[in-house]
Amino acid sequence: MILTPTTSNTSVRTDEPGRRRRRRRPQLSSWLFLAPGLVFLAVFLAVPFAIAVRLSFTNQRLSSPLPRRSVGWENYRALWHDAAFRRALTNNLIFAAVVVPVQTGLALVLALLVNQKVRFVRFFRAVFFAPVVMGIAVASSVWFLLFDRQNGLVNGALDLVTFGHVHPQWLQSTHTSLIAIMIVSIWASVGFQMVILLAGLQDVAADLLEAAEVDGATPLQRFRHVTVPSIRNTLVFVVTMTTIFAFRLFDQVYIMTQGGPLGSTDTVLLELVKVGYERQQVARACAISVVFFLIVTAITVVQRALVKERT
Amino acid sequence: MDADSSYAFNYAWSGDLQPIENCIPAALKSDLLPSIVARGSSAGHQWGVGLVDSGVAMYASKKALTKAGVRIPTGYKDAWTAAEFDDVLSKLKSAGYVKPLDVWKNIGKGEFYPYAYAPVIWSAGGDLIDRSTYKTADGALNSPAVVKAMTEFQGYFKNGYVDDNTDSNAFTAGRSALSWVGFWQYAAFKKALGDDLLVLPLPNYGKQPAGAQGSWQWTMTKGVDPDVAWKWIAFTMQADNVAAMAKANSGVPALQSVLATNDLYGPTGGLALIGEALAKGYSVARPPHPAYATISGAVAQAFQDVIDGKDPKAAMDEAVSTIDGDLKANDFYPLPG
Repeated sequence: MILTPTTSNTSVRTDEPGRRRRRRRPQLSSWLFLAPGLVFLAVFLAVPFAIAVRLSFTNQRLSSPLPRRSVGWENYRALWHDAAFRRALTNNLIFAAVVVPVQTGLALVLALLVNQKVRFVRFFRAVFFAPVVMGIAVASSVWFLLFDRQNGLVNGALDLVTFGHVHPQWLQSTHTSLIAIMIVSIWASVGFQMVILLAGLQDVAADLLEAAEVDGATPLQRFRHVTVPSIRNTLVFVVTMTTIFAFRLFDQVYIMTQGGPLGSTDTVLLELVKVGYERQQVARACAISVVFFLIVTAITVVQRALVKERT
Repeated sequence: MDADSSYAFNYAWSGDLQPIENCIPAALKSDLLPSIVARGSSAGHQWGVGLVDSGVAMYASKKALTKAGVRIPTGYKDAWTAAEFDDVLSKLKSAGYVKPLDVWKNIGKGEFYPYAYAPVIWSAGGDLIDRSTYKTADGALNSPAVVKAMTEFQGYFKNGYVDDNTDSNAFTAGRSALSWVGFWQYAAFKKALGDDLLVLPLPNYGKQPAGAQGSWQWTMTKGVDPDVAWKWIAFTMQADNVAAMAKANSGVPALQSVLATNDLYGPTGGLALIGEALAKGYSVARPPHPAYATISGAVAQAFQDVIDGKDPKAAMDEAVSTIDGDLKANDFYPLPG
């Protein structure tokens, strides 16, 4: 399931009643321009989701000669008692709680660094952005080898630095597997947030910063009271995006751990694929996707209510 | 369509396949290994036919076993017992093999786990589902004997005997002295170890030592012209093509006429042990049942969890509940029609 953040503020025109005739045509053309997007959203998002809601109240299987029948709330009731699903949801929440602040903070630090007027700054921008270009599947496959507890580069380096005292089991231990996934996720996508924040930073009015400097504000005060308020909307956007991506966690765990060991890296989407395809219980998978959609929407709405964008 | 293991029966039950028994000419039929026919049959029809049959074995380095001073089994009759196998691992470790056992953990949770590790369950006298009724896995997959065997199996990981094998080279590079894997690794192992390579049975977990069998097989989807589809299958099933396939992946050729000329599985061949397993009934087929898609996933998950340290009894009970839930959700898979 693809979740699209609702970030675009469609400005509704409030024309005076006297200009009725002139209003028609721009409205028609705007609908025409919207049409391709709306059609795609309807065909690939709205309609499938409506079907998913409907199927979640049946016993639909991936492939079965038995007739489909309605089962009421049975799928949702079973989900409520499903320990694996709860575990997966908890993992998603922990992952989001750690990754969203850390990744946003790190992206901001990187953006500030590459926003300096120093030599080779373009080179550094490219370096920090490179993992994003790589693609998460490739990054996960490479990190899978790096995190190998016996012969991996990460433990090799740790051995060297700590003289063999620190030797984590990484993907093999329930204590470290989710941490390893977090490291990969942040490494692989922090560059994307950095670029967005960088764009925000470059829009910060230079005269405001200069005026603050003239008034005797320290660099920290300038950052806190001029830069951050100026990029507020960008920050809100980045936090929302990162939260949604955090809940969408799938590729990394699918490639690196398959949700293991003992469910310590299981996520809602991984659970959905397992239930829907491995166990062929499409109806139950639909119920998962509906619950998941509601949870993510709720979190996003609450988040946006707490920190509103300002225009 | 090429389908792995028992998945064909799920497709067949779903009504996506057509039976092939009427396409097979009598001459070919009488030449097929009985295990190949059995492998493709369910609910009174033959749905599939494969080019090769298969087997799983404990590959070993003769030098390492000699160095550790352990008894070397000669065949299924005197396979190591589970307790003896523990002793073998401990002695190999003392002999310098830090990670003496490789179980190809890196292949990961997929069809490999139920294929290669299910013999632990069968050897203990259990099964993946109760085959007398096909209505529950309770008592078959979670019996005390199976739990005991799974606890043994878990011990290999708990005691640190197992190489992660991330590079697929644990055995060929000499890190491990034992490698628990299917027939398809034979050629690579033989090349690396030469005369030092031994092919041994898996340990005996109580009832009798067990092996695996069955491989990919051709099936026909509904809607295709059976005569046209059969032409392709018939071509691949020609003796020289079956022989070429068997040579390429070291599999057991599906035709008796080809098997007779195949050195690998003859009494003195490198994989004689797998030949023995198939001929004498030590190897067990995965349940030919439409629920296999779920059984496979549940059993793979159970093995993964046991490897990762979960209580074996809890892991097996969970697999049983997954399988029984699936059977119930499908009204116990009634025959179509």
